[in-house]
Amino acid sequence: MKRKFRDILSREIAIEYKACLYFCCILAFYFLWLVCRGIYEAHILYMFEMVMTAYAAGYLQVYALRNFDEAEQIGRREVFSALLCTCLYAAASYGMGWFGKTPWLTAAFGGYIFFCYFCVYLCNKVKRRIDTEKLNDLLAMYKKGEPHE
Amino acid sequence: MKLTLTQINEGEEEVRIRYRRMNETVEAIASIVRGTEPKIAALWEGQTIFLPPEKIYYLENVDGVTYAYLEDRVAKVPESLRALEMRFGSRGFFRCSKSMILNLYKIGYLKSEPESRIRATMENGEQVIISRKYAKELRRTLKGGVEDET
Repeated sequence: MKRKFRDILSREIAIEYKACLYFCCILAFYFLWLVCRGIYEAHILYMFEMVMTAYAAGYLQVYALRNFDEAEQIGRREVFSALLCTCLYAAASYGMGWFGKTPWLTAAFGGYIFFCYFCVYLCNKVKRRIDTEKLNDLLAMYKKGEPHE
Repeated sequence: MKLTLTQINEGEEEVRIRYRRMNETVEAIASIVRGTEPKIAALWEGQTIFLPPEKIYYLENVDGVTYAYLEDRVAKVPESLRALEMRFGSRGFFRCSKSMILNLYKIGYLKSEPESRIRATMENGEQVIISRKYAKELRRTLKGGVEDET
């Protein structure tokens, strides 16, 4: 029971992290779009919708799509999962009119989100590579009987 | 660790260990010299054999029976994992799951996996996935019990 609770909690934290991360990505795109048009005020309702969409995508990603941005390698499944979440974001942006219901801008936003997924995948991969090196250094020191510094 | 072997023609044979800090390796060498090296009694092909712990890659409990996996054989051990963990925990035997104990000195390579898991590749090529729960404990053990904030 305790273990099950911990598993759920761990997943919820992962969703929180992903929601924050991708919300920041969406926000960057949204702010850039506004600034390019000479607008210096953001729509609070749009921002709320963006957060909610990021949470929805996070749940989908963690519970149904095997956390694809943390995958070991990119395969068909990961590309399909990233495209599915990209479509969700693009549909939300078009439906709720974040970027004025412009098809080409929705497509550009979709491309940007897909690129964000790829960047996050790369960051996770680099993080694990560094961690692997650190682990093997620790193992080597342990085998030699040297204290950790 | 540097090893110096000197052949002598007369006098008593002697082993001298120069160490900075007493650790499992030094203790293991000392116990071999003293002849007090602990061994694990095990059953292999109907015979009782005594296994030196450093030869064991990992210990696994399958359906309530404990098995010791060596480089080329598997022997049945009439002891629980808990008892073995208590006896050999200080000699590099690490509990990596409910049913398995790894000999850290027989791990060839560690790899960080998604979701904070660790893949351990043993020197014989076998691979073991260590879950997030035990991975945290492994990191702590490798650091000599020091908790890292990173």
